[in-house]
This record gives sequence, C-alpha cells and structure tokens, in this order.
Amino acid sequence: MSFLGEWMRRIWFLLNRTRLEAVLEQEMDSHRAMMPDPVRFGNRLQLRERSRDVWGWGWLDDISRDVRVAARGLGRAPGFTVVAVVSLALGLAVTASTLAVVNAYLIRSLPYPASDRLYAVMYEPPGPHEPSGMTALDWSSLSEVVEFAATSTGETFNLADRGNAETARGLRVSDGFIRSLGMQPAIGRGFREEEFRPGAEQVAMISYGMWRNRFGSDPGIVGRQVRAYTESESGPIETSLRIVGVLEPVFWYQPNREGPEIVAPLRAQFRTYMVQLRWGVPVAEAERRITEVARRVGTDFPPNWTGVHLEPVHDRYVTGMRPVLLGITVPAALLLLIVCANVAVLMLLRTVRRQKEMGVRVALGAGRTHIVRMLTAETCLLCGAGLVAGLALTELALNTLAPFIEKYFERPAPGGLSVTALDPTMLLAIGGTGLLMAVSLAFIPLLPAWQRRFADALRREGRGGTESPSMRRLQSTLIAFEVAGSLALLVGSGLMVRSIVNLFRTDLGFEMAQVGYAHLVLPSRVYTSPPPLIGFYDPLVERVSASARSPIALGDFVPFSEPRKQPVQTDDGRAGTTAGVRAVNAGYFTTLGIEIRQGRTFSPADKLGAEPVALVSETLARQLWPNASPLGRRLLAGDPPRGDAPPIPWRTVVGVVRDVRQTYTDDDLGDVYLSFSQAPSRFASMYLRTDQAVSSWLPAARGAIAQLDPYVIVNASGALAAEDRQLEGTTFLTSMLTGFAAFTVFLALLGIYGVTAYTVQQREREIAIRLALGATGDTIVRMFLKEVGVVLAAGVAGGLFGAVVVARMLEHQIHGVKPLDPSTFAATCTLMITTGVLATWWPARRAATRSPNGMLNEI
Amino acid sequence: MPREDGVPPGTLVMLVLRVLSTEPLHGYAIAQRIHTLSREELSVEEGSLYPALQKLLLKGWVSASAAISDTGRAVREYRITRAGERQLESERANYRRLTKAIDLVLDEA
Repeated sequence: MSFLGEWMRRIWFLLNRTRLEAVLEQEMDSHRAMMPDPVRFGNRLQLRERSRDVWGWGWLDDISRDVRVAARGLGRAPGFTVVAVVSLALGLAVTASTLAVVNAYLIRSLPYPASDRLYAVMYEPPGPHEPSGMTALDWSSLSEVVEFAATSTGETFNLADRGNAETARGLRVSDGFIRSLGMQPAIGRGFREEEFRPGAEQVAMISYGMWRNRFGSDPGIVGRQVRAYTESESGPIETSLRIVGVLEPVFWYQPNREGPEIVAPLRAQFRTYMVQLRWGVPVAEAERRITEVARRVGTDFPPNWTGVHLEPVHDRYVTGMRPVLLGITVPAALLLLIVCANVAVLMLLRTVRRQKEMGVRVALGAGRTHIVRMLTAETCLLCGAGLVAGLALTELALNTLAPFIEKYFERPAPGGLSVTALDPTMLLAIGGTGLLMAVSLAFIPLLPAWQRRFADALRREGRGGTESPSMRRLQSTLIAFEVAGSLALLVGSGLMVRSIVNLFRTDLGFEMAQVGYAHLVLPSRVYTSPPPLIGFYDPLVERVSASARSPIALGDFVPFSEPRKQPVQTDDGRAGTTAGVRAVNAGYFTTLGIEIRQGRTFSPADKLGAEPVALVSETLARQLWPNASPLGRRLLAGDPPRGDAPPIPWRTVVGVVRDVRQTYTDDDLGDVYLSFSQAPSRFASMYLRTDQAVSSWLPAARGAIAQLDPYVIVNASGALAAEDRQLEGTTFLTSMLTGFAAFTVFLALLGIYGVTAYTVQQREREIAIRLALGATGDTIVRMFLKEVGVVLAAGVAGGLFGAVVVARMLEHQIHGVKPLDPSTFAATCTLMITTGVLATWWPARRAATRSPNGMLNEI
Repeated sequence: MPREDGVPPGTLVMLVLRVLSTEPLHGYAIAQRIHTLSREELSVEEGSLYPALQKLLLKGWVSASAAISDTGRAVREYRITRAGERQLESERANYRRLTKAIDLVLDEA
C-alpha cells in the first residue's frame, strides 16, 4: 500500500515539478539567510540536484537533455540530417509497403468468421476420376469434427425485364454457405429454412452492386418479382424470383472471379463441399473421418484412392502468389540494407569529423556513458524521424498504389491494403524493423570510440580527426556492398525494361485503335443449328453496318484471348500440326486492318451450303505446304467429332493472311480462319471501326439486336483497346523496380562522392606537398581513382553475382529477353563503373586544381 | 574552522522524525534542534538534510506546508505523519537492537 502511495507521490512531484523546485529553492535560500555562516551551506546547485534526485526522475532529465543536445547537433549539420532521414524514410516505406502487401494477401485471414477453419473438400485426385455418390455424404455423422458443410453451385440467370436480356452471375447455395461466409443482408432478410425445400417458392437475394446498378437503389426492392430464365440440362426454364433481401458487399473468396449477383437457395444435392471444422480439430483427423464416411456411401473409387483432402480456402485464394511476393520482398529488403549501409557511411564520416568536439566534451567532464548516451540519442532521433516519415509515406503510397497492385495480382486484397489499419502484425513488423535499424546504426558512431582515447583527438593537428585503418576498411566494405546491391537491382530493372519494350514493340498484327466490340450470346433453345443462326446474324450485320455506315466484323471468340489449339490435317496426308481455329466474316479483316497476303478474303458466296473454304496464316501455310502455294489445297481443321455429330468437312484454302497475335505473348502463329457463314456459333464478338466514340454506335446496335431477338444477351462491350490489360500490370512492376534501382544507384554514388570528398579534405596537406614536389593535378586524381577503383571493382564483382541471382528470380516475368542477357549486364556494369569513376573524379579534381601554396597556408 | 562530527550514517532520518514528533519545524530549526539536543555533538550537514527531507516527503513520513517562522520569514514547515510515527518506532526499535548487540560484543569479547 505504501508502495502505491510512494509512486503516486512520485507522479505528483513530476506533474508539479516547476512549482515544487521553486519552493525548494526558496526554502534553501531562507535557510541560508538564517545561518550565521552561510558559506557552510554548500554548493546550492549540487544540493538542489541531489534533493531533486530523491524523487527518481533524474533519468528523465538526463535523457531530455541528451535529446536536446542531439537535436541541436543534428540541426548544425542539415545536409547530413536531411539525406539520412530521407533515405531512412524511403527505405522504410518500401519495406513497409512490401510487408503490407504480403500481410494483406498471405498472412491476414480472409474476412469471414473463423475463416482459418474453412476448407474445401477435394477428392484426390480431382477431375474425371472422382468417386461417385459423394452427394450422399451424411454430414450429420461427422458433427464432432465438422461444424457445418456448405455447398454451392453456379447458375446463370438471364434476366429479361427490359430491352436486351442480361446475364447475371448466380449462385445456388445451401444453408451452410451463407453462414460460412457470414453473408448478412443489408436490406430485407436471408433465407428461411422452408425455402430450401423442393417445391417451395423461388426466392432470391441480390448483391449490393446489382441493387445499385440494375435496380437503381430502389427502396422498395424487397418483394419485387423478377422474371429470369436459366439454362439447364433439360432445356431453358423460366422462373419468377421474389427478391427477399439485398446482400451486404462481401469479399469473394475465389480468385479471378467476382461474387454472385443473385443468390438463391439450393435444393438439390451437389458434391462440391466447403466445410468449417470444429475448433481444435486437427485437419488430418477430419480428413480421416470424412474419408471413412465417404468410403461407406461412395462407389467407383479410383484405384489407390488416397482419400479426401482438405485444402484451406485461404490457400486456394492465393495460389501462385507466393513466388511473386517473395520476388518482391527480396529487392525491397536489399533496398533497405543499402539504405542502412549508406546512412552508416554518412554517420562514420560525421563521427570522424566530430572527434575534436568529443575531445572537448571529455575534457569538460563528460563521462564515457554520457558520450555514448548522447550519440545513441542522435541515432534514435534520426531513426525516429525516419520511421515517422516512412510510415506517412507508406500510407500515402499504399493508398495511391492499391488499385494497381490489386490489378496486377488480378484479385483484391482481403480487407484492403492500408498499413495502419489497426493490424497488430503490421505495426509489430514495422516497429521491429525500425528498432533493428536503430540498434544496428547506433553502434556506428560508437566504433571510433573503442579505437582511441578521446583526449588524443585534442592533441591532433589539422581539422577534425583522422581515420584508423579499420574504420577505413569498414567504409570501403559498406561502399562496395552498396555498389553491389545497386548493380544487382539495376540489372533486374534493365531486364524488365527491355522485356516491356519488346512487348510494346510486338506487332499484334491488327489495329485496335478506334475499334469497339460487343460480345453476344444467343440462347440455346432457338439457335440449335446453323440456319437460324444465320437467320439472326445476316440481318444484324446488314442493319448495324447500315446505321453505323461501316462494315461489321464478326468472330466467334472473345477479344485478347488465345484460341484453343485444334489438330489440322492436310490433303496430302500431313497431320500432327495444331493451330488456332476460329470463324470470322469478311468484314473481320477489313475492320481490324489485317492484310491478305495471297488469294482472297471471304465473299458473300462463301455461305452455308456452298463449298467450305478457309484462310490460313502465313506461318501455318509455310508449315503445311512448305514448297507450294497453299491456294487451292484442302485441309481438315478441328477436333474429331464425338458421338453422332456430323463429320467436319474438308475446306479449300482460298487465301493467306498475315500472322496475327491474340496476346502479346502468343507465340503460336498458326491460325485457320473459317467463314463465319459456314460455321456460325452462338457465341460471337461484333467489332466495329468508327471515328465516333464507342458509346455512340452501341445503343443503336443493342436496339437492332433486341429487335431481332430480345433474348440475345449482350455481355461486355466497349473499346477494344481497353481490353488490352496484359501490359498494365507488368508496366507497374517494371516502374517500381526501376525506381528502386535508380534510388539505390543514387545512394551508392552519393556514398562514393561523400567518402572521396572527405578523404580529399583530410589529406589536403599530403596533396599540397605532392603538388609542390611536382605532381600534376592528373597524378593526384589518378591516385584517388586507383584507391576507389579497388572498392568499385569489388562492388561490381559482388554485384554481378547478385545480378545473376536477381535475373534467375525474374526469369518468369520477362519476355523476349534471356535472363542472363549479356548486353544488359554489360550496359549496367559500364554505367555503374562510369558513374562511380565520375563520383570520384569530381571531388578529387577540385582539390588537385588548387594551388599548393594556398592549401599549405590554410593548414 | 575545524569540522565537527556529522550525524552517524543511517540515523539522520530517525533523528529528524524524532525531532518532528514533538512539534512541526522548518529545515533550519530541525538542524538547530538536533545540534542543541545533542549538546552540540551532532551537526547536521545541510548537504544531507535537504535530500533527507525530500526522502521523508517521498515516503510520506512527513508532510510540508507553508508557514511563518518566529522571525517573520516565510518558511516551509515539516510535520510528521502517522506513517512517519510508525517508521520512527520501527527505526528506534531497530537502533536499540543493534546497539545492544554491538555493546554485547564490545563488552564480552
């Protein structure tokens, strides 16, 4: 109790210090006044301090004094302070941002209740040999290991309220599914138990986005009936759904896919399960139990069936990301190390310069502890400022770059990318890094202290102090390390830049400027054979090209997608080649600006019932008929028909087309083009080249489509150039890496310059004597170059080794460039050496051109 | 001027508390009282008095307040607290025990 009282009294003293100290001083003064012999009172200041120290806050005073002295010292060297703080801030920001990304995707769990217990049930091996009968798995017998099991199956709902039909992503879910993902209704209610029973009324919940976009945030949404029809195996079914609720915006756990827009209760049994295990149940145990039950109800097990395997849902979300994230973490860590090395070099230089100041302090009575405390306070101030600035920078960077990052990984980060989003892991990691940095840097200014006595420094002549050989070695090592690290990063970014340039320069073979597209899907119930398809497309092409006054292109594929390779056989028996096969109309080549090299393009005569024709790409023509003209030859293109489907016809080649790439990395240039009228498809993309904006012709086109058949679905439309997403992500990564490299090179050069400039200043007398004895300016410069040259060479050698490592890591990210591309390596080495030499030459030159007389006089 | 003996180590707190247990006094008066009561054998160094007074305040054994001395000066008067009385008792008992033990050794050895 008295202990508590004592502490409270201490705190009370701290809070009232000024007043209480004044009272003490006054008291001592009046005591002195009352004494017959005031001299005996003693040293008043010392007495006051001793009295004050009783309260135990002396250390606080000492520290605040040290901090103030340190701050003043740093203020007197603004160049050093600014460079050090900015470098530390940037280094920390880079590391923290990388940590934030890694944390957001890999470490933080998915934003669902108990998401670390969510597993997907995989029948090993997945695929066509899965055991059957899994729909009858009795989960109630597994209730000690499994809390609940959820099933879902996707369904496409075609809403046909007004104008065109539109597809909506639908999902039928079991009762457990809503619970497992914690899907809460923002408006209305969830599903009731009876709605899961077959025969009950069809109800649905819609997503927040759909409510906002399609239904205009209608407040009376609950209870609305929506007409939709779904495609099922037995044919299209038209249903009327009653909306009972609107879902809150929810994070979707499948990569590359967006969440459902319509959610409806699942009434049938399906075999795709997601389970939530009970707390404390080990995964192996659960797998064993589920396998047991599966064996009892299932049939048709593949031989050597290893049983059921549970894969964490989180892992499935981040497949493939680990190597990429590791690839980013390493350069970031390297950058931080280089930054620290640079700051260490700067601190060493500064410490040597201050030896005289230290000597004076020691002479005035500062103990060793005191000096150590002061120097540590300086380092802590620097690191603290760097940490604060770094955190602010990180927050800024993450907020600006979050959309790019998410686009690069093609999946949003669970829970967002903010660094200070009350995430204890992140703050701990950053705080730990900052602390580690501060601790390691704090030793730097103390190193010279162990080398010599401070008093010696006062006796030394000349400005400042001199370095000992071991300090010089340390400096050289740090500089060499910086050079090595920046060379490695430079090579990495060089490779990526070259790869990007290659990609940009890739000639896709078609023009996408000012071309718009729309993707159509025709319903299966009417369009079961070619004639009705032609009956739709022909008038469509007529009407749209008439109103747009431009030819229309049709193709049976989605823009910027690589076609599936299908086997091709020639009339002279050559087989075994594969090519991409697609059906296009005549307008395709004109609209997209694809040149016809030989022969002709499709004509109106190439219609259904006429002789089947085809066009081939140049490369394929060379492959199939290397020595002859392909015109007039025949080929068979496509997979062999299954079951009782009609055989594919032999087609006559009537023209050769130039090579076209569908994506920047499409290396297979063999393509066969069929006439769209002879091979129409329910899935088609319409292309139109026009000077006007895409939005001007699209409504007219939609109108024409709706007139011809209102059930035809128009998904996805827009400018073709906007679909070119491949380059965005890679450009982002390249710019980041180049930024890192440029920054580290700058730091390394700054280090070299700083050390050389300082050495030159230290050895002024030596230089002056040499000049007086007849050395030329060039000799002096060469002398310095030789010294720094050794360090530079060591750095470049180490850097080459590091560069090979970095190149291997980037192997999968670069195209069109070999990882160990000699010209990139040579160019970066030359750049590093040249700039390093320049950074040495500049300060050395300045010293060497001054007159020796002047220099000797100054000393 | 020859230096007189200071107070034996460890006893200053006890002496101050004892003096204050009679009546509240200010700093100079405490030193005077100890000096007088000990027939001028003990003189309290100011250098040890004030830190000791601060320690007494910290431990809550005395409390301080503003007052006017008999010469009309504004001073700070120290007053013993109940905890201080208890501390005084325990230190006195300890002191008696120790001196008795020392005496035993000195007399009998």
